[in-house]
Amino acid sequence: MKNKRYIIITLLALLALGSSCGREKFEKSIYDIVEPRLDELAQWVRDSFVTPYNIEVLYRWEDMETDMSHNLVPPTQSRVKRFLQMVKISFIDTYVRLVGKNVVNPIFPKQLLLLGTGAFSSDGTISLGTADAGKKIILYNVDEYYSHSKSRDTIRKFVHTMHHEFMHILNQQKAYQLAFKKITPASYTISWFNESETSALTAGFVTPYAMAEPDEDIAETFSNYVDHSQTEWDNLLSRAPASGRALIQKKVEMVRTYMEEAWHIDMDALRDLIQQSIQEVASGNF
Amino acid sequence: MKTREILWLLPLFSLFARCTVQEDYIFEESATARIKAYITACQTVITQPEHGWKVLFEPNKQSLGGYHVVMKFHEDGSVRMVCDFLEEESTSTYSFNESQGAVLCMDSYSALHYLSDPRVPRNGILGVGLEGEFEFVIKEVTPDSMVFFGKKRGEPVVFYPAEEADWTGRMALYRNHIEKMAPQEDSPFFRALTMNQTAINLVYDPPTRTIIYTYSDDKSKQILSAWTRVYGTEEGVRFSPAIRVNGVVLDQLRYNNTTHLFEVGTPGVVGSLRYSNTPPFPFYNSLDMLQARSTFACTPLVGSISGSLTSIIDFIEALMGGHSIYMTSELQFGYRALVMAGMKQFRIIWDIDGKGPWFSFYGAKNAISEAQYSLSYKLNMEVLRDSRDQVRFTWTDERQTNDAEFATAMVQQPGFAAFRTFIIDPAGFTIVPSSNERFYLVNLNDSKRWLLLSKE
Repeated sequence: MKNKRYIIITLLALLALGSSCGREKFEKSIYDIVEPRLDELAQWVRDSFVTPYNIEVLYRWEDMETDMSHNLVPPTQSRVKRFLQMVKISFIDTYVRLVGKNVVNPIFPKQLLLLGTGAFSSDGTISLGTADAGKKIILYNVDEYYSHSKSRDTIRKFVHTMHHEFMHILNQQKAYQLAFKKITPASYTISWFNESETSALTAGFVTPYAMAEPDEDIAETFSNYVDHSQTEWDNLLSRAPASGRALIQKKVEMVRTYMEEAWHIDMDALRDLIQQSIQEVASGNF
Repeated sequence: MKTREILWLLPLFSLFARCTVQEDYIFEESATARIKAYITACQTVITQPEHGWKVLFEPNKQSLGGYHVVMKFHEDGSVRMVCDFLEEESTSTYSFNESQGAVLCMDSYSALHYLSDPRVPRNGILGVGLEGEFEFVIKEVTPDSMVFFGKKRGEPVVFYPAEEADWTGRMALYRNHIEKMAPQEDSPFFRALTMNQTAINLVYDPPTRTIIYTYSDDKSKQILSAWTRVYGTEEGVRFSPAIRVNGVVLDQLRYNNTTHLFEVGTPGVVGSLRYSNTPPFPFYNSLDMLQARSTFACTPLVGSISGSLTSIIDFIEALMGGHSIYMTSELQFGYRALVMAGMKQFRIIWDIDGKGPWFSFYGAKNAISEAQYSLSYKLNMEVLRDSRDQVRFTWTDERQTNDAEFATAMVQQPGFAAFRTFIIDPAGFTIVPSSNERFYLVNLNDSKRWLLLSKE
């Protein structure tokens, strides 16, 4: 009797399985899955960024990728390649040469968004770069770079921005030491733009912008260290009073430790490579 | 019931749960398929006209004029453009996307982006641009027109099929005419537009394509100002709204290629637009109008002030080059835009303590900060005629500063010396009201030397 009951239940179950709905036909996808035709620039970007480093580069305007509160425009397309050559030589290649592709590929930003102008704010400040969610870096002012791409100061300004934003990306993936925030805790200010270089150096910051908050402080400390040659760095420190200089040096040591322990990157070796890359970009021989 | 029996019964529930309920769909296709089909149709329409599309952009009818653009869209995603505000023809790219419905996006820099570019100064300020659009939400598409609204600001935009003439010369003609409205280099300051017996002073602002005109009102005997938008035409320029002065209405000017003058084209109205070194009429009581508003900053729209420093940009560059002690690394790296965007380096403060104007220089130890340090000199002012529209200034040694180091550095600036020389020119100035908020100081001997004051 018991077995009979199981047989009936089993038959009912099989009936249920067999009484399923009509079969769906998998027809042509409603999405556009055709491989896009790549023009010369797109192919170069694919060969130089996408394939080797898994970095998507957006140089055409993309819906929802930017902040609507700013007036922004895409870069002039004919100026994109020269800018990206600089990005590759003085940003990507420096890390790859130092620690290898396998180490840095996972930590590189996965998306670079290029814009033609800076982001002008009503307080008179202009954003030159932003980092988002550990994955995306926005680089502004591509058109300006094109016009002054042989100038070492211009190159250094953009190199500074990239490494500054990359430090944010790194911090978004692995937090830096809490102790860093305690070196100059009382000197951070939202009105950093009212500070001079002298007052920043006196208070233990490499730039006025570093006074904005600890995250900007560590990004500025790192990017200024690597975009300055040793002589330039010594000059910068010499303009700071002893107390400010000691604080900055303490921060540099902490950044050096962070880069070494968290990412196995020798900050001084990196600086040497970046200095070489700035010369290479300025020479135009690439 | 035992657990095993319950488990066996579970498939029975699928009898009721597995099938999807038959519904009557409103549309035969999914939303994605429909918008894709719509975009495909738009793609077909937009590439259809032989000579492309033309559009008159009026980004903001409250403060900007009109800008013509002609575009030919190609199936490969490229778009060719000519316009009446840039000389070069450009080729860029476009695409369609789905965000607020179907959206046409000019996705690489083109003439259209120029109108959105924050680097284009608006009243001397960077960041705002000309309120253009380069993403357009599609509202209606027919072979005769494509109706959009701008994604950022929501203003309607209509494309109409273009003609061959739009490519072969019409845009160039528009641009040529409208450029002739701009103050010509080395021309006197005043542009007197006579309409029958009435003269008005006309000031054209090239980036915004707008005119502020000033006239003496017959009825009230007051100096009045009004504003209008300017559009390029094949014959010259047109105004909207029309210029209305003492009963005369003027909505267009024709450019005479023989006389090189704009002439009044309205039937029954005779006149022309000419440069003049002398004011077309007394700007009655403009000094009092100016003094009623205490503080004025000089804007980057300043005109010619001396042989060596021709604009505020030169002045700022002199500042940058002269005293790096007040410059940050941003300035050394050439962030001129930072300076131009937020700098208030000098201003004239009128009527402090009821004693007359002070000429103040403001500076900061960081280029992007609000000016914290100041150096002010008191000026004596002499009214030159009864109409109270012409004055002369003399310098006094009475001064105030909140930072001695800043004051010492500032008086050594070539820009400071240039402005001092400019303001105490013994010839004096005509005070020309441009609006309630803007006044020109125009040198009486040489009208090419002028300064624009804007209310803070």
